[in-house]
Amino acid sequence: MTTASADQAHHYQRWQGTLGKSHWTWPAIVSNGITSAFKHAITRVLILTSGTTVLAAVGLFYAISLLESVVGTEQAKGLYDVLGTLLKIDISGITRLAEFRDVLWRSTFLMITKIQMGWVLFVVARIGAGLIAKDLKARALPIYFSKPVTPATYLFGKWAVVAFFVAFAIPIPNLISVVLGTVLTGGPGTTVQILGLALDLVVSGLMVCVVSGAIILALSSATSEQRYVMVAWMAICFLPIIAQTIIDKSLPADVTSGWLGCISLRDDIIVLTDRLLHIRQALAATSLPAERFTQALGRYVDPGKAATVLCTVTAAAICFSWRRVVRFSRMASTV
Amino acid sequence: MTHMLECERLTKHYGRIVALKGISLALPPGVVGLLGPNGAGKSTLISVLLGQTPATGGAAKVLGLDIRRRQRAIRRRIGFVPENDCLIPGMSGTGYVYFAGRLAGMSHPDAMQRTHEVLDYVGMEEARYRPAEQFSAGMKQRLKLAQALVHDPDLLFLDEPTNGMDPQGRQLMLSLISDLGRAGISVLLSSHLLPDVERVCERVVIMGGGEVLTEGRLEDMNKPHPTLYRVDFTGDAAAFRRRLIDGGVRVLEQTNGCLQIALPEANAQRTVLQAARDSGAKLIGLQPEHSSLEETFMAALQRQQRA
Repeated sequence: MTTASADQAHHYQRWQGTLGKSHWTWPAIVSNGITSAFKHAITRVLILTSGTTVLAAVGLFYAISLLESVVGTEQAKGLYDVLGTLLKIDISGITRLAEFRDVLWRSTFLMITKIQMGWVLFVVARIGAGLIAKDLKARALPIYFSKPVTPATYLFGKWAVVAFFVAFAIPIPNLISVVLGTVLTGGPGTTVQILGLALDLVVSGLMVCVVSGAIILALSSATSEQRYVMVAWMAICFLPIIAQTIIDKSLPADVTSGWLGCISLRDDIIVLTDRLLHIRQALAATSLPAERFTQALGRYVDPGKAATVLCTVTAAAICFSWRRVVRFSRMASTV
Repeated sequence: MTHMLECERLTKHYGRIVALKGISLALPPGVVGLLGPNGAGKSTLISVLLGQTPATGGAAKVLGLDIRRRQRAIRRRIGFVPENDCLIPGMSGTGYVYFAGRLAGMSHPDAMQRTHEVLDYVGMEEARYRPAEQFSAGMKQRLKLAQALVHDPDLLFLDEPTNGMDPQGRQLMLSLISDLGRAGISVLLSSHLLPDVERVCERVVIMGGGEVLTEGRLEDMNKPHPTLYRVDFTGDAAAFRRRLIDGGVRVLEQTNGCLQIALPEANAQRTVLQAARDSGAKLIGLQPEHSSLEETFMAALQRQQRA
């Protein structure tokens, strides 16, 4: 193509539209992150399988409801055993089960949350590991930071992608379980109890979103290699669990109720979920002797210390990723 | 008239390293070339003007907006084509430009419509639906230009936009830049390729060692040399040459029927006419040599090194 013909072939047309507010560029980052993640079959499988916890929860609610209707009969014995084994609460012989319905529902969600934490581990590793690392590797930062995107917008957008998928692993299935359980079995009690439970589930789910999102983004901003991020994430998740198990088995309970009991972030989240769902208070308020539900509660850990550990780790992760992203934004035109 | 760029004693230090040494500039709208060797401070200047790197001292305005206080407003009105690929893996050409539009604050329908407009403009046909990492070097450069244009900026920063392109692709890119200039979009073109700058730019800024060495209109830099001339003649070359030297003229280069000479002073063409008459040579042409951008560039760098 000659110069003249090239010149004649192009006539730039100015755009007459107007740009939206620059504070609202983060939804574009979220939308792009979600679309990219859903292109992978593994992500779709993880999200679909996380729905199985809904089936488990609704099944248990149905069993609780069924037990109420057959209490005192021979059939009830088998249901007492099943619920006692799964929820680790000995409710055998109790006839006025309606009074226990709320606490049984909450215990069910605590048990389900423990399972969902496994999903979160893989979902966050799959989704979050590459969120910043891929941009670093592809040197794609100029596309963000030459547009009206600030480090805060960028980081929030990336965090929201993690939060979206974690929400599909924990709070959304739990809320669906509450709705389905209420429709099928009448719910845990009054409307206030149903709404209270739903709110507690949202708050506990949000806690998981914040903590897991902050940590994975800190790791993802530390390197451009996604696989290193995944390895580090797995190490952060699994090694403290192993260490905590060893400590719990080798030290007395009064020692492990303090800082030494807060090593595993997963366990800290479970401790706080327990608190947010008010299970201890609810069980203590029943006429049930303590030895019948001790196993359900597990070892006692000071929730204040667990919260302190989680807050510290989350704050450190946010600070780290913030510093990294600010640094990247300053290098964006020269990377 | 609002200048596209204004800098007032702009400095940038990286620890002990001084990347920008009090740059003062006022560039009117148009297509401006930014030239300089590696380490001259071009990328730092662009980074500071984009509001990505905070300046250590001085002040600067982009399109009349202060770079310290109006960063977001500036980025809404500029487009940036970085030197590196900066493509997001797995994203199609269309998806990439659309995403850039959304990041700039465009609504979904606007971004989608505008994406196709700018991809048509840069000459991306069906390839726009393929993953961007499969594109050739030329297509990647045009895709980067498209993402910079999607929100219709008033000023474009182009960092080596013709890098790695074949001659045809380079021609196309340069013609696009020229057209953008005609459409009223100001362009700051950072390049190592002087012919590219000579072809599309109206003004040139030459940087070296973190300073602006020379700045001005390209046609002023290409003005006729006052003492350097090219003489075309027929006749006795040796006699003509001897007469010229006797008249105080330096003969720089001699080829068959052609001499490059340096007159002893400006407006001393009469010396050449006299030498031709005395030697019996017949003059065919006497034209002043034009100083090229390359000469200006080299001279500026040499002056800086001497300083």
